[in-house]
Amino acid sequence: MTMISDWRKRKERYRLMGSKCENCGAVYYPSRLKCVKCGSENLKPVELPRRGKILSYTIIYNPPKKFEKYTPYAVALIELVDGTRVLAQLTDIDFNQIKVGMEVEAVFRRLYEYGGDGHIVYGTKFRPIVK
Amino acid sequence: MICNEVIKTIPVIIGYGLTKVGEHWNKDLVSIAYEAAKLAINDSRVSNIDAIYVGNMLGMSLDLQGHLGGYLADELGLRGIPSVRIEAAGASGSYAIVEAAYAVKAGVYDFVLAGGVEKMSDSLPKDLTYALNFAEDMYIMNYTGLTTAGLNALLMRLYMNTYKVPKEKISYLAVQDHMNAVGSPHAQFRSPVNIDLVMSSPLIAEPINLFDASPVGDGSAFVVVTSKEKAEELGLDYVEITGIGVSTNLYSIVEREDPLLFKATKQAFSRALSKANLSIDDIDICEIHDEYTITGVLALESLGFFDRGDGADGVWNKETSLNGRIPINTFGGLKARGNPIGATGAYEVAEVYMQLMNRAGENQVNNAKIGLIHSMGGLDNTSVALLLRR
Repeated sequence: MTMISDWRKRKERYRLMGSKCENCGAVYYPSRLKCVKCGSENLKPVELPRRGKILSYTIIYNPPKKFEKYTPYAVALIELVDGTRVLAQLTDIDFNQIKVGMEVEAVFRRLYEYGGDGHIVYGTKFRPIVK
Repeated sequence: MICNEVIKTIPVIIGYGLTKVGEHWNKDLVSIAYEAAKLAINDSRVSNIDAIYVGNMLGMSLDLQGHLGGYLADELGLRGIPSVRIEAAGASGSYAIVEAAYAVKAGVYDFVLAGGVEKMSDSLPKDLTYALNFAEDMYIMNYTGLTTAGLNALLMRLYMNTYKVPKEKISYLAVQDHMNAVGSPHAQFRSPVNIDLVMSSPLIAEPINLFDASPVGDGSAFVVVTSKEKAEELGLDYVEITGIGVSTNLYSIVEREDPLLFKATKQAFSRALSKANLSIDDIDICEIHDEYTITGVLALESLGFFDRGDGADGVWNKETSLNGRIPINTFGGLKARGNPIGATGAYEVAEVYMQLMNRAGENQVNNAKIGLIHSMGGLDNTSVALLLRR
């Protein structure tokens, strides 16, 4: 991805925004142009709930370019409280404590950086909810 | 609507060529393709090729070579004929053969050279991992740092939890692939492995170990496609491409209601079966796209060879071995024959052709008449099913 596409996606990433179909109510993250369920093109930006639970997770040991310095890191398939599913990194957690079904909440974090004259890219990660 | 039923011409394969999959340090992308293409043309015994379809995914990102169609035609000394690159990630090679078959079916060309090539070993792992991510939604992959191994790892854990299957049974597919590769001269890894070695290999994306993953390798495979009429006119032996099915799915596993079902795979296969007027029970051998062990297990279930949740058990119980109920990956599959991405689907087609023509050597499956090729781009984003018949 280019630096400009990172900029274009900033709102979605910073505020965990997807798109909601005004016709049938389906929610998508990342946002879509056309509703999968009903075919409507009338989709509006929507802020997603910031809480959910882990459906599955992995710990990445062989990263792609840009993620080497963060390795290893955990990525989870998360179901938010409204049923929308998202893929995101987990943060502030010991790998041994990650469990399927664990409740997590969205937080603002550094995603990666371009180094040199490049900028730092921020977005949403999820951390366990401390009760 | 796919409406090729009015045209009765049956496309057939009359020859194949392939290189050993491996690290070809002294050869570049086009040299590898040249070797396989030349072998395929010689094997088919035709002197005039009318068009080329070459599958390739990573040439533009890793080898800095685009426009492979024209470049390869020139190198092969076939300047003047139409030639184009086909890209559908891991299904590029099989898709190139689909396009060749359609062109022959439509009566556009008589003899088409179709297959694929990939050169992966020149690149650093982080660059390769990044480039392989291009098969998925780059917004998601870049945002999360996910890899194709990571996506498959999410599915593996989901599968283990949903069906209460131990990882050993899923990973056993790697053991079987290696077993078949021992008798496969063109396979990348021809040594047997046991389940303990697979389970103790380094983690690349927990719970996926290194030996659950198909390796990095270079390779090329081509076939020559013509019509049944032409082949018979020239007295050439052939295998029919009797059923073709291609389908696409929701791009990301996030949106799939049931991420463990490969819907495009299922749909492509059912289309191919109905075109060929065959049922799943007619299939003697099968090549599946097991990019990771879990991918192979899910493909087997989505195709319908096993009930949901029973695929890993089936492999563990040797139902898919060379003398099992449904032999799969008879030359080692993606894990042991290797997975040179854009060429992989073409290897699968060539291998089923070799089996049906009784040219499979040590790994020959007796009386194989009908074979299935299952090929995927990304995680079931594009799926191709081809049925070959002797």
